[in-house]
Amino acid sequence: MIQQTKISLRNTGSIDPLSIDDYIAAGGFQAFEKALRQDPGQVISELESSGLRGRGGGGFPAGMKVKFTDKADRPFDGMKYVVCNADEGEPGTYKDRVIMEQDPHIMIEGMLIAAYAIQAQKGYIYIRGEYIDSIRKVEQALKNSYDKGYLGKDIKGSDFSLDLEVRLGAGSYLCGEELTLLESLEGKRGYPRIKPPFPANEGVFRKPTLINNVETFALMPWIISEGSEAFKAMGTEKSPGTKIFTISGDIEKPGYYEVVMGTTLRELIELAGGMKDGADFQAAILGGAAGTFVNASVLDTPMGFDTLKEVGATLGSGAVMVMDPSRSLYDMMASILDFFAHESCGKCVPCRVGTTLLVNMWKDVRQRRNGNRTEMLEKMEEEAEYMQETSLCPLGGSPIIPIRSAVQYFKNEF
Amino acid sequence: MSTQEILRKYLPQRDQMLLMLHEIQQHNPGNNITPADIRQVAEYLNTTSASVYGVVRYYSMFSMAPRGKFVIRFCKSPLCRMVGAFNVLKSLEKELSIHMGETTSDMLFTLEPSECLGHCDKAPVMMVNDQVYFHLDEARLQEIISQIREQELKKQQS
Ligand SMILES: Cc1cc2nc3c(=O)[nH]c(=O)nc-3n(C[C@H](O)[C@H](O)[C@H](O)COP(=O)(O)O)c2cc1C
Ligand code: SF4
Ligand code: FES
Repeated sequence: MIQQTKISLRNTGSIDPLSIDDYIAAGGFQAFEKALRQDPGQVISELESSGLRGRGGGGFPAGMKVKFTDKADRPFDGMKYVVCNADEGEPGTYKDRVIMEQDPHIMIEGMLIAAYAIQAQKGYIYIRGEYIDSIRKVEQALKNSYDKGYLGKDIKGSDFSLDLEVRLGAGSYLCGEELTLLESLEGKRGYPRIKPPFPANEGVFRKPTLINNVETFALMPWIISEGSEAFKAMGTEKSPGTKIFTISGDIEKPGYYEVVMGTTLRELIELAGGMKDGADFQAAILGGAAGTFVNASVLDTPMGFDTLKEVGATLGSGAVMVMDPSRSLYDMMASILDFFAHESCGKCVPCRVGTTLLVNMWKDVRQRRNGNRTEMLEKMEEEAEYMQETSLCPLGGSPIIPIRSAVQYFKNEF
Repeated sequence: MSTQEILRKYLPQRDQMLLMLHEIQQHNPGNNITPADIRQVAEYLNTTSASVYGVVRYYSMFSMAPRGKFVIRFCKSPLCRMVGAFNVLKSLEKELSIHMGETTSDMLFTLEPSECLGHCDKAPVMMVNDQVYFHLDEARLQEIISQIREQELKKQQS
């Protein structure tokens, strides 16, 4: 059976999350101090050649984003920012919470490394308001880091300074989308901005900003201390390194597991104790609500961003929801469509109207109203595609993802 | 702590608004943000009341209506629903004699829907103020609710 490979979770369970001394004793901040002895450009190339891809769901090359933010012209006040996306709201996902609750310093160290690379002076950790325990622990870890001289002015005798602060969300899934998050961070309503400009050029307060997910930052210290080659030696060619999967549903030991990229769903389920009560596997939803339904034919596909894409599936945030044959695919799709209808911010018509329309169309499919089901499913796909093309932000383009995959893998079940 | 005292803890910058609103709401007995609070925030940040209203109304964790002492956030996201959250919700509504979105007449509980609370491995899940409760079923719910009721009764008596 495969084993976990813990990089971002390497200290979880073995140290006191609130003790910076524990973190340091476990080798903490050595990677940052190593980076500090290097030229920022060297740190950027190390991150770039590691092939690290964003763990927040999109899988965008992290090193490239660091490079773009580094290249962006400094505004008149000279400011650049790092922002940590800790808004974790994708249903089925709880990896960032685990990092923040069990080893908050590792995320701070990752942010320090990234901030040093782009010579940012200021940063924010935007945590969803419901994550009370995470908020408290991250605040304490920030305080610890200031006390030990890892944050503030002239860090560890260098001329590099960084201030980090916590900011809170207040119950909006959409605020996890990076440009919306930046609006919210500025104290505004969570309505998305139009892309481009991208955060690398115009981020928070319209200044160059590097924004990454908690897990992305938490992987950076290891990459700097062990080297990009060691990172690339793990995982798949196009998705190197490890990934935390949060697996829930009909399995024996639901929870979080950090494994190398390319691990198969079958292996992951086995690692999580197998199907609950030895039941058969019916389906899994990979990547959350904005994720994909898959059937047993995907059990042996290596899970990486590209390998899953090839079969019409997504890795997303690493959420895996497992269903045995007693579960209703209809119900599952209904709750996913309800979710989008609830979280649409209503700013643009196609998404506001479309998300509710899809909820109703799904009821029709289920009750076999309005014609034959194959046609109904096709119509739903059409509607959702139209939403994707015409919506302002990626949320409007999300419902097509589960719908298309459900049709691909379960057409005959509906 | 008064709203003024809370405000003075923060720099008068717009990016501090959500933090202020969270803290103001927490200190109000009704677990809400009042028109007077909004006026004061607007003044402190040198902005319009309308723009503060906009923010308060946008975010689901903020409420203008007074709420119970205990705000229940009940997860109705896909995984919790798959393992029976709606049945559990029905018995919770019965136990509290209110529907989703309502407050009990003794102002003790407000029941609110929530999306995924990030504890899906222990579904169904709800939060009561700062506390997360897992693996909910009818028996567990009754236990949680009656514990809070008893604890409140004791506080009143002493
Ligand atoms: C509707 C929506 C919600 C999102 N929610 C989150 C989230 O909760 N956490 C997160 O890290 N990224 C989220 N993202 C992705 C971010 O927009 C962005 O890609 C991410 O912060 C980039 O960091 P990364 O490159 O390290 O993954 C969301 C995207 C969309 C469209
Ligand atoms: S696509 Fe939906 S969530 Fe995005 S801006 Fe439009 S209405 Fe809001
Ligand atoms: S779906 Fe309810 S906690 Fe995640």
